[in-house]
Amino acid sequence: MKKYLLIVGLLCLVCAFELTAKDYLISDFGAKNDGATNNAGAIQYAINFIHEQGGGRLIFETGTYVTGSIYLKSNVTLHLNQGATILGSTNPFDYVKDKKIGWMSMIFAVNQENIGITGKGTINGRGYLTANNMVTYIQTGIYTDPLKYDRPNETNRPQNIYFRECKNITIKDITLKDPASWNQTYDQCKNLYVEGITVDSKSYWNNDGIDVVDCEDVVIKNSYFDAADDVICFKSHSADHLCKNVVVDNCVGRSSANGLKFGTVSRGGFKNFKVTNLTIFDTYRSAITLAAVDGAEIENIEIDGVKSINTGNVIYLRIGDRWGKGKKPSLKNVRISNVYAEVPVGKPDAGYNYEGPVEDLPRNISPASIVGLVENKIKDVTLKNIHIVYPGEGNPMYAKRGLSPAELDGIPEMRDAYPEFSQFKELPAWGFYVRHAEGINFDNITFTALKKDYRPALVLDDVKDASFRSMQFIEPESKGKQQIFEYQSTSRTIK
Amino acid sequence: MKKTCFLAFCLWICLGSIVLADDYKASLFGIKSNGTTLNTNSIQKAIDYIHEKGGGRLVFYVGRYLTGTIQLKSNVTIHLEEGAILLGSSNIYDYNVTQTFPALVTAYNAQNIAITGKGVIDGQGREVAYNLLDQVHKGLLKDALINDRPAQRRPKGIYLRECKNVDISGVIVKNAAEWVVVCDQCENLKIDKLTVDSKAFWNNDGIDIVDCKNVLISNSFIDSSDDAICFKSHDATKLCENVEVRNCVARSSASGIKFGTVSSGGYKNFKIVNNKIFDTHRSAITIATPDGGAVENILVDSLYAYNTGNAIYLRIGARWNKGRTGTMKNITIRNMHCEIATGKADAGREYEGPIEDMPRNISPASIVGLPGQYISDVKLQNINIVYPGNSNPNYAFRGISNVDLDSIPEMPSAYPEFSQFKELPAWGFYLRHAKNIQFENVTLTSKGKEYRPALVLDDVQGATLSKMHIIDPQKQKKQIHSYRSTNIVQSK
Repeated sequence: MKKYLLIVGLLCLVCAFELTAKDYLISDFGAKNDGATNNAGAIQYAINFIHEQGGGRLIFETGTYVTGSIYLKSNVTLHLNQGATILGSTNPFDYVKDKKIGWMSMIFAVNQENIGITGKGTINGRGYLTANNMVTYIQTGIYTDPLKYDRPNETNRPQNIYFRECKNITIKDITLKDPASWNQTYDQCKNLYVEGITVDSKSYWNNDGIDVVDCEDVVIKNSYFDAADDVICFKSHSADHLCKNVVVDNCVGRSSANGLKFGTVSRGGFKNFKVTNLTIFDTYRSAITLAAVDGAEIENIEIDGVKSINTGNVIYLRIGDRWGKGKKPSLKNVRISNVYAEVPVGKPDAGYNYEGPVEDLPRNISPASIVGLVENKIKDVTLKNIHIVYPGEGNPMYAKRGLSPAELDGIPEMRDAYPEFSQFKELPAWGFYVRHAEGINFDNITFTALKKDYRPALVLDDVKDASFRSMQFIEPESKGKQQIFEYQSTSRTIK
Repeated sequence: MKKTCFLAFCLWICLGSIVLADDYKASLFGIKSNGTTLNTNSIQKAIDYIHEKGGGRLVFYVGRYLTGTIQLKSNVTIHLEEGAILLGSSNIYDYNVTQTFPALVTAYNAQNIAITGKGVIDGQGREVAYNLLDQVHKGLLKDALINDRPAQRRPKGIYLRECKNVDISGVIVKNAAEWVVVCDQCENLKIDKLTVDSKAFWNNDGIDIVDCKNVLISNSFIDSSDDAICFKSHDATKLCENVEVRNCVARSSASGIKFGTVSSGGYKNFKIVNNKIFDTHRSAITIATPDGGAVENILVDSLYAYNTGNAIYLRIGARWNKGRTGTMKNITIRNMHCEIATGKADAGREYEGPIEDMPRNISPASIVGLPGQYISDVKLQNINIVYPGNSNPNYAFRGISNVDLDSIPEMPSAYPEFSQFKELPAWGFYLRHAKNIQFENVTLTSKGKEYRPALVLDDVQGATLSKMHIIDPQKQKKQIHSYRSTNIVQSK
């Protein structure tokens, strides 16, 4: 805890420093706020100028400023006043695909310090138009891309922000809208402070809310996310780096994928996380997905205070063996507490553009799951004070996975598959499914099924040292039903 | 010459397969996957283009593709990858409403067409039906509003007419405003691994096969508010012929497997093997010919029905037969297990089947012809039907006196439904106007006491009952009653 306070303190100092710096008006550099002129040249000139002067804020007054790619430099903060919009060009050729980074973006920063984007203005990538213009260029042969899934590769569509190997970053108050790919990525950065931002990111495929890749000392707080893809997403692209010392506090998110996600690319690891007071709603997949499929080490993760409303799945913890190249993944020391969740019968993200794909059918409502590998178990997970309300009504005529050894063993391991709560199709439990795990503690858990389900609430398969304390199962017409089923497992009940 | 022909044939096959292998991505035609751009014209352009190029697949990847009516052309496959949804517009004017049978996906006189993949066709039928209703209420469209629902223009999910070599496989078809998947006068039709999920509005039949030849429906799952797997014959000069239904699971707020209602031409040579019906309001299987159609050579083998309002209903009627006489013969039902619902089998579902023909106790399976028009040569073998029993004669009563039996109406012109006669005098099986009936190893179980006998035969000319097992807590009662019947042979 002391460590976290120290980080916050340091970041506050950074902020204070930024506020005292000199202000420059973008209009003085000849930028036009007419919503039509491409100002990339003027903005870049202004950034370079301020950087050379020793730093300061570049102020955007009310108006709409079109731009292509620009690079932020040390000691420069872009400050967008309320009413100011930085609008992405819709021409994909106005964007740079940075050689070091390998992605397109509107606002880049590489190897810079003390940088920020602040103010109540908006950055709008107009990603739908840019992405579709890119599709046209690809279909006419002007740009080369395999069009996998009939869309340009993520790296060939501009993000709003991509910062790499930067230090002391402040992102505060701004609204980030409509990128053509991920929204904002902070990659191998240190001291990242994100506060009070609004993300409206559902204009095209892969519109993640925020991606934090291999960063150290991160705070994300008081922010709101509405994203077509994962909301708050931690990744590890490099086997030699990891995400560590991260605080996420008081955030609200909506997604057609996952709420809080570790992965998918998960090579190095994720350590020392404290996530508090998280609200996830109308979200298609899991409120929380922690996946170590590419050799990542995940440990010391505390998630406390989660409200998950109208969300397709609540918790998914997974070890896989996809791109690890022999690096041994681990997932241990996870504590998830004080969770209230409601899983709906229908599609939680119905009606949004770029709804999450209907897949892995036929299956009844999927349970929360912890699924490791035979030789690589998920260890020491504590689940405390958790209430999940499920619709129940699992119908064996539609999809059935029974409890016989043959049926349980018949659940595929899917070591190298993309990790998703639904990947195993029908699972044998309606509440929680645990496989290949060790030291799983269920403490004060209530699972409610609103209608009768053919499955038991909880299935353990190959679980060592599970413990149960004050378990409650509520399911209509199910008096005397055995709600916990154990297979090749050991457990104890704590009174 | 023969050799040349053969070579040419081989070449044609090769070319054919090469041509068919051509894939066109939807984005080539500017089709948008965001769920809000109306793509009707660009999808139609894509189909026409691929058709003119000699054929191929129009491939939709993950995304929602909003569209109105599109028409498939020869040699074109619509391929929906997992996660791709062809989404019906909610505006009725985006559909071909001037046609007799409007639909989201149509084809007329096309050959070698297919709809494949693991994706979804979602008609948004309730939204379309409400939009249509609104237009009718505003007076912009005229409609008789029969039963307070639009009688015309409600778009079906898929409507294929006079097509040959049709392949529908893997896809999920959802939420039509009317019937869901319809093939009308088609030949060589293969439906495999289809999922129908349609409880969006009234008349959501799952699959309607109308006057088709050479049909195989297999490995499919149907959950529909109206009849699940339904065979019809709209044309008196046509019929459904050579049909196989295999390994399907179905649920309905009407009947599971149904022949009819419109049954002008008839049904011949059917094999219905190894299917399951559950939570179904009416009959697991209804075979009805009220409109003059000839029904013959029907085999139903290994049908399992759970929580279903009725087991079997075979019926000849005289409704829209225009002087023609409906016939039904050579029906074999064997290896059937059926559990009849105690309560309402489809309770809680949207568009529940109507409660009607009250008062009556649980209705028996029935075989009911017309006077002089016998249902003939029916063989029931290895059948097990479990009823809840507990009928109450104070609630509804039909005795077995001649007067009581004669009072059962003939109802030749009525809509054929297992419940149409209200209270029937048997709890297990009721037969009337039937000829040459064979029961072999038939077990009828009533869980509660019954005031009625298990089996009533009225005007049955020739029946053998062997290895009948009747289980009823109401002991010491004659369980088989026959009236006006001849040649009834009973053996152990």
